[in-house]
Amino acid sequence: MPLALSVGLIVVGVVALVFVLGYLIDRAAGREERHWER
Amino acid sequence: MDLAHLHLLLNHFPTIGFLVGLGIFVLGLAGKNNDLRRAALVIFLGIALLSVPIFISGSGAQEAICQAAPDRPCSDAPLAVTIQSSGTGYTFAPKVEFSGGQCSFPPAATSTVRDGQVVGIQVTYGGFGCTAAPSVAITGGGGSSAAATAALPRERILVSKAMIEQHESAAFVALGLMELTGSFAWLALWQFRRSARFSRSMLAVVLLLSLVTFGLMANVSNLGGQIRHPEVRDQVQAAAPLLSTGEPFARHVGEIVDGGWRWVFPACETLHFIGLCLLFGVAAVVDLRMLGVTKGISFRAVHRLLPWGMLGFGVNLVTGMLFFVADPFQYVHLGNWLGGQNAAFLWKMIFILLAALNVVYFTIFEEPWQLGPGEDAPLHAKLIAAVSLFLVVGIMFWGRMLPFLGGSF
Repeated sequence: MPLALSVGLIVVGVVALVFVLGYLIDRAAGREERHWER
Repeated sequence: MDLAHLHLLLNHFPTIGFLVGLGIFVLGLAGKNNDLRRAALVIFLGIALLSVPIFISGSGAQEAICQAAPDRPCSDAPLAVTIQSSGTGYTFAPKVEFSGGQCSFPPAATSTVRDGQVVGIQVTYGGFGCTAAPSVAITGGGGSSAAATAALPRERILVSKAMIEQHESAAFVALGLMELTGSFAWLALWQFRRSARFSRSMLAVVLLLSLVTFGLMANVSNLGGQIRHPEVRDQVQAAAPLLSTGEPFARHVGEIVDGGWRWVFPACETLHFIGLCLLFGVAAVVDLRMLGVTKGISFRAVHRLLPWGMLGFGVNLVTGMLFFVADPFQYVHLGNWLGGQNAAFLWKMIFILLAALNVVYFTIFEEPWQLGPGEDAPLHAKLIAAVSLFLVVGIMFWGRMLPFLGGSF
């Protein structure tokens, strides 16, 4: 596999993982806050 | 003071210090006391951050302990055997045996015979744990009166490279778990700041991770202590690196990063920059709000962005440590630590630790949290924000200067 393709895939994979994690943490925080506001 | 001092000074925190934190945490859980829980989480976070320079200073300590060329520190140099008398009448190769020298595992060697005389002795195993040169006995072979002496190179008496690398590998794994514990401790603190309560699952995760981390760190300490303390060596464990044919884990990972798999280094390099952007982006938003830019937004709103910055920091911690294990000695050359070749790396580490204090301030302190929409931060909070911006820019500067001022790469 060409080097650029391997590097691209791993970078996109890790960045996707980071954004999914960030989104999940943010969503959990939002849910928590709405819960305590009620 | 050099890195060896620093390593010996700090290396008790991940075990003794962590145990104190663990005790406070368990007390806080048992007594349902949120103050104790928060104190323990701050200790976990602090020790997780401190563990990075502890790991790094380990390589400096390795270089110092071995006093050898930076690229081959503490080589397990072979035993030097000198033939004193070749003897006579040998018809086949006699047995060569070693005794004494307080070796945990004695060396092994074979001999070569020519024209009835012993003309060569080849060391096949350097032995382990010898504190003095063992004596050599040449028996059998049909001849008599051949004699040889053995000399142990100085570095072999002091320390074994294999033991150091075993310690390093255990530390590398334990460091990973320690950082994971620190991440969840930080997340729990952030969550508590927002909702004034801890979620049970989060506390359970931190407890589980901290127990595993403590177990691993205790093992790391034990292995580290054995490097310079033969009196506490468990012989079987001490011989493990020599008896196993595999490469120590951290060295194996290091070689993969350092060109073993061609895509790893450029991928880590790219991710390191992306992580940096996340970290700097969030730090800039938080710090600028404190300084009075976009005053209409409450601090609570920007506080919610902090995990994104920490994820960026996490990416950089992982990729940064991979760079480090790929070639540790280029960062920690002995004698150049203060103001010499490695000033850039030293300052980068100092700036990271100072920036971490800022993160703790913005994550858990009451003062910034109280800042509502349109409100101006007090002067010292603004100062902290300005320092934070300076430190983050500084971290990038020192990182970029590694090849130019740091003599790395």
